[in-house]
Amino acid sequence: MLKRLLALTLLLPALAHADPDGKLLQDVQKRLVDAPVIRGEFVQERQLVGVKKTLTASGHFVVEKKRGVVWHTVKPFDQRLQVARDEIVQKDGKETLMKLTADKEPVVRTVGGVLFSLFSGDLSGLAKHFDVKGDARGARWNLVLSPKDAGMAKLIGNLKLAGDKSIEQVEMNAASGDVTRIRMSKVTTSTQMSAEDEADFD
Amino acid sequence: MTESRLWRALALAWLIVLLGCAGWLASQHRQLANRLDTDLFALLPKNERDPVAERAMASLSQASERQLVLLVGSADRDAAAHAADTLATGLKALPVTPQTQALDLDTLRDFYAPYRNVLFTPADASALAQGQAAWQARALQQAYATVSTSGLAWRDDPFGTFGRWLQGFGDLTRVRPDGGRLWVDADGRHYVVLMYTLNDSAFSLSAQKTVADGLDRAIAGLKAASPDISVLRAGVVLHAAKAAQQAEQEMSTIGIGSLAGILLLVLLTFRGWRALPLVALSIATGMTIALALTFALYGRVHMLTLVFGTSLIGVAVDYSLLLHSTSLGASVAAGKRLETLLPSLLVATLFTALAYLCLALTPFPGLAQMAVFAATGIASAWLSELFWYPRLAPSKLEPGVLGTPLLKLLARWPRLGRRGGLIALAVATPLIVAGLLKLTASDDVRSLVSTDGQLMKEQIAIGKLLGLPSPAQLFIVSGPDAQTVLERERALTRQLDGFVARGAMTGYQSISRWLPPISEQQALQSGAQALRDPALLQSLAHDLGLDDAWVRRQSAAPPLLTPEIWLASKASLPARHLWLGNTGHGYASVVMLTGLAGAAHAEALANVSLPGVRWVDKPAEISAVLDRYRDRLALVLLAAYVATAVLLWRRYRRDTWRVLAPSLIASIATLAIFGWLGIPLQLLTVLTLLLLLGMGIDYGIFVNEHPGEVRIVLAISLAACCTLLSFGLLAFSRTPALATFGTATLSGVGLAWLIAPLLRRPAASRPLFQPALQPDPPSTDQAP
Repeated sequence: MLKRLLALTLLLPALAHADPDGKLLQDVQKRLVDAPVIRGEFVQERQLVGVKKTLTASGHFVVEKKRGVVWHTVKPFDQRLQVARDEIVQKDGKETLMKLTADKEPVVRTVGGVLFSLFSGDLSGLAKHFDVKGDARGARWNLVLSPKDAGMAKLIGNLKLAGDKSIEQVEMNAASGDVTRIRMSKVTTSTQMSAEDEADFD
Repeated sequence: MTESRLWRALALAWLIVLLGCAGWLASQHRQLANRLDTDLFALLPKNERDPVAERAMASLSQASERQLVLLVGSADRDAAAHAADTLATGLKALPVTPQTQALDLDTLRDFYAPYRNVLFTPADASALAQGQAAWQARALQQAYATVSTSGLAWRDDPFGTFGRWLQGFGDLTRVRPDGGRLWVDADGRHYVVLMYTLNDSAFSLSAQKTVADGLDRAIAGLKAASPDISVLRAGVVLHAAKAAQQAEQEMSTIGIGSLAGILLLVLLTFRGWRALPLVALSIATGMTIALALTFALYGRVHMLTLVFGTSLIGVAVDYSLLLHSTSLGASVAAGKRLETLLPSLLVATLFTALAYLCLALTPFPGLAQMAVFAATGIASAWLSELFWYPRLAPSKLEPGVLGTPLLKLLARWPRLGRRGGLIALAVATPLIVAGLLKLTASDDVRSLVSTDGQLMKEQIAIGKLLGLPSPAQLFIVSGPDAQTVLERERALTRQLDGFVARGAMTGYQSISRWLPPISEQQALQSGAQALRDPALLQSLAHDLGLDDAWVRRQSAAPPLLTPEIWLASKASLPARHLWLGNTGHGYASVVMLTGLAGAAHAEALANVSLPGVRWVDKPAEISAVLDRYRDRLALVLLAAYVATAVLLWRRYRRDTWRVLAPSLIASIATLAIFGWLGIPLQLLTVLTLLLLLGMGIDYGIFVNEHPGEVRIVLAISLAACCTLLSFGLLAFSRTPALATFGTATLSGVGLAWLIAPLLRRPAASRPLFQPALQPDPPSTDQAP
């Protein structure tokens, strides 16, 4: 009896969470707020292998459906990560630290696409690259994404997302063991970018 | 002489030689079929001056000759993916093995990680001079950054330098993996890249055909099901299969065409079948022995040699036709007739065979092989007549349906007197001069090699889509040892970076990118001392909370990457073709260019002058070689005319010009005709003129040896007809080189044949074997 119960509990999550036809993602997508411009604040914690301290950074982000995402860290450094469909730019103040373009670095389109989907809350793009498991029935939904591509699996172990009307938590477990957790808050929407948002994009 | 014992023994020996060759070919035919070359570039000259460049080219073509690349494209990504899967399934039965992406970033990361502290991008390398504070800030930023690109944990690449260095490999290929497939996007279309390697078993002609046909069927099926799918193909095997198919077609057209024509001509000209055996034997001996000897000599025989060789059918029959023609209504035994004709036959054969051997004077391996094939074939056919004619020839032949009217007609062949000659000259000269003035010279490689236009277009498209380097224009870097080569390559790539910046090309592939010279690694090792400074590392460890073991690991001097380690690893696979290693003339490597824009830039690259660096431009080089040899052979041609004139003078004295003029006039007229037709003068045209000297002189010799002998005119007419038939068919070859041969020979031999009787000696000589044939033969052919 105990054995059967154990087997059942082991089986349950698998039965409940498998999402072969992308229905789970659709359910989550339906719950997410959709607007041309989404902005908010974030707190990011990194736990790096071999590093005792948890590294906490904070800042704000702007999502513009066409132009992409700006991930603006304010503390402890002023640093910007701009992600478009085929470009990733990392800036230290005004100085460009890293710029990857899709036509030169083919991996960028994949990575950029994932980051774009992730930060912009456009989940439909994620099913292409990840096996999706999770639950969208409760008050909060949660998803676990595992890379389909073997090459990508060597970079990303998995991604964990959770939220309600917007994505509230992202956990990136890199294959190397480094973990990045992001909490997003104070999410607001609008139809147009403010001058402040524009400044973040340039 | 021909009745002597020795002669009989020789006839038997020659038969044994023929049977031996035939037997050997028959017993080996399976193996020999696998030793047929279809490589289109076998015709091209080897780089005689630069064995290292030659080796580089050979190793590059070896690396690519087993590759088959297919791009399946559609505007709709899912449709492209589906079509690619269907195509891949369709190809499963073929002797090809699917290949995964050549460049696997994980393999590279794993291999290079231990050497990460001597591998820096140029930007990082120059930033090493910045103070420790800047680097500490970078490390902290890296630690707080949201994304890291190296795939290593932060503690293993705290400054992010390795991640950036690794990213540099990204632009080596435009192909990117996605969902288990390889993709490349361009102009709104998505392409799935399928890569295959031919199995070892696929190196025979039949296997190449299997692959090409199987691919065609699979693509046709795919396109029938979904018409908006496009498929691009690239692979040496496809060209080879196409060339083989073309060569086979042409061989059978020329072979069957000339055989049928010749046999018909013989049957119609001579009554009954008795002339046939010797004609057939001539052809059989010529072809069999030529084929056997060429195989024995070269090991491999090129398909084009066979195509060219097939046209020899028309030349091999010349001697038996000549002998048969003189036996029309003859009264002398076959052996005696042969003895009488032997001197002129010998001279004629020698000239023809020598002319063919001139092909071997060129640096083209393909032509040398054709020369051997042709000279052997002609000599063999001639020897067959020499030994067997006395045994096998009917003592006399009667003219057939065509023979009688031909003899009547040819007997009226006019002879140009002084006045007629001057009139003809006055009419022809302006036409010829005008034609010669129109003649242009061009020695383009494309005039030698034919490639399938559609395949070529697809291949170029694939090259552009995938950003593949040019295999024909590249740099070769050499030096006494591996490290010198790498250092010299670095000097070159620094200049190439300038070219890339100016937009002259999109990029380059060099081995030093994968394997930086030790001197550079050592410089970086000491330059990066700042990053290994325990004070800096301690401060980082303190800020973030790392242990002492990390500080010790990071401050240790990094190992250096040597060529031996690199070459032994899988990580070198994508670039190993660039490394020539020890060539016997020191070490060498190749630097390949991608997206070279325009000829002007190629010229600028040719002017790059650095120690041990050589620019190789294969098309330009071949054109230069062709050009050089064209001039050289033009001189050989002139010398040949002078030498021939001197030789002929000893026998013909003041009539020498009559023997030589048919060839000379025909040659000049052929050039004029080429001028009128707009066919440029090439090396091959000059070569054909050499052949024409050899063949045209035959006609001159025979006509002037026995002027007024209508049977000789018949003989050379038959011979010319057969030659015209074979070479005329060759003119339709789709290989430009062979077509040029064919056209030039057609025009030259045709003219030489028409001109030779016009210029014959005036004197009615003593009849050959019996009184000359009267216009009405039946009364005379019953002579005792």
